[in-house]
Amino acid sequence: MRTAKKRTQKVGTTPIRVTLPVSVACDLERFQRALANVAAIVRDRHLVPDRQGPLSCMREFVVDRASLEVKEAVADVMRPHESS
Amino acid sequence: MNLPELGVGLNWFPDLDPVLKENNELLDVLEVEPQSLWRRASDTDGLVLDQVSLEALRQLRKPILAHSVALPIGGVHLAPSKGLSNLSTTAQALSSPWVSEHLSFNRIVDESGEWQSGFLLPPRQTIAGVEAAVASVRALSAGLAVPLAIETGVNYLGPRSDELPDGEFVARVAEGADCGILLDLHNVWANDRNGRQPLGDYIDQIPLERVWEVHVAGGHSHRGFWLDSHSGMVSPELMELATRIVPRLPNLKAIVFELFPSYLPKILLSAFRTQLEGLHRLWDRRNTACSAQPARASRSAPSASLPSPAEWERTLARLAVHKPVASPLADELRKDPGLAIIREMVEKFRGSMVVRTLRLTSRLIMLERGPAYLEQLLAEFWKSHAPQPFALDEALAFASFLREQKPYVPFLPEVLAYDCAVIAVALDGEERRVPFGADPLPLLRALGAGRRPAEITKGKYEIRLTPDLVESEARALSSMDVIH
Repeated sequence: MRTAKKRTQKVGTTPIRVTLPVSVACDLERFQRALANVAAIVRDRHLVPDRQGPLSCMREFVVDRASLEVKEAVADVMRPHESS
Repeated sequence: MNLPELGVGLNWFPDLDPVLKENNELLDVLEVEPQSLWRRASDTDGLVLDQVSLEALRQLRKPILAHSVALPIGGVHLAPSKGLSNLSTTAQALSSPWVSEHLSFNRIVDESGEWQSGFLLPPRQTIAGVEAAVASVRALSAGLAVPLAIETGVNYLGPRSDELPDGEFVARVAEGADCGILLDLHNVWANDRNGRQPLGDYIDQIPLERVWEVHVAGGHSHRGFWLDSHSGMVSPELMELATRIVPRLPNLKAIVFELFPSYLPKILLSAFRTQLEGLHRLWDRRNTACSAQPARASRSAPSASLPSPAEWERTLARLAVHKPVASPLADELRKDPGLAIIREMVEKFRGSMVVRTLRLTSRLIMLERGPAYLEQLLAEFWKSHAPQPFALDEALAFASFLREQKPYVPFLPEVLAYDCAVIAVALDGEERRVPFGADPLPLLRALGAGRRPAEITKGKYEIRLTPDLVESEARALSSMDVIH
């Protein structure tokens, strides 16, 4: 049995929500492509922790079912019980 | 009995569609497991027939045979009336000219209630066992609008001195219940190779005029046993035996090749075509004018009355799923090397139901703690939970087990919640939000790619899963899985 190895950890300050159609979540290949697209847009918008400024409001990224393209949406606030 | 001559067929699964398209003209009939079309009703505990999948099957425009795998008729417990009703409805919807079911058992009723063994198990081959099986076959037949054939099963246990020979047991049941026989030549051949009755003796003992259908398949060797794994082409040796047996079956109506779709990538399409061409040559050797079966060898003296079929079934099933059982029979069966094979079959199948339903969770556990740790968790789970006929139920039960046990696996609560949320959204069409205490993008991307996440950013994250599945996609998640 292998014990869990340590890994590098950083701290992000911007709450992020990803909205994903469940059909994409069920299809591993499309799921991977969609997450890569989200990661790219998050990187482009400078939300990675080492480039992050002061605490900002939540950012939401929505994956399109058909094209898997990602668009930023206006996010509502996280529900209190889910953001603790 | 006036049944239609169907020809050469294939056991159908959606994943076999590529070979079906490539070899359409060589496939006269498709055989379907009715239970693969049953879905868990979203509003009740009942089952519904998936009309979308049914219509897709009809569009293939082939005769279809219903080959049931969930209501075996070799044991003391009769098929549940709801299951029987579903089977009858499905067979009629498929216009199946007959229905087949296994001469095995999988339902147990004991002090812990009613449960299933997770694998079709061999019945008690005694006179009392014949009587129990005849009652089961008659009960199932009575609920069907078409004739019933019993399938000759695989049996990894060694032969016993207190049981009827395999062929004689089948003969007595078929004649007692006045039903047809689905002669699974690969099963009988596997039994022969594993030390049970020789195939030739078996064929001499069964009423060949009752054989309506033959199954052939490929298998493989494992720990000294030949497994009925449906893992490839029919061996030349079995094809040669079939060439001699088929002309002796005056009422043969179909020869069906069985292949599990998971083995398809290992098979060349050209080899598949060659196999079907060989089966057509075999089909052409049938001889409807051959005389009825010559007088069979004299029958054995009545076998031992104990253990009873009920005790046999309870004991063997409990052993198969590692439930505690103490009796002289249990001690005997524990010494049988075939029990380890049965247990392995049950466990592999149960494990596969969990791994393909809780995909990211199982990958996370394996990547963070090693495959042996996942096996250890599954083994603990199996000790306290009986097998489920639906992969979904098996996986959700394992998810509950993980939540209770709280094994140390980084990010397990979040990834498990995510996997369960995907299932929930797919089933009920209600949106779910899954909070993550670490960036789910590198985590889930790494798991999706089958590697351990190297760098994780802590913070406040959430995945919102929105419903968008069409009905057939969603319902496929809740289909029944039965190992046989």
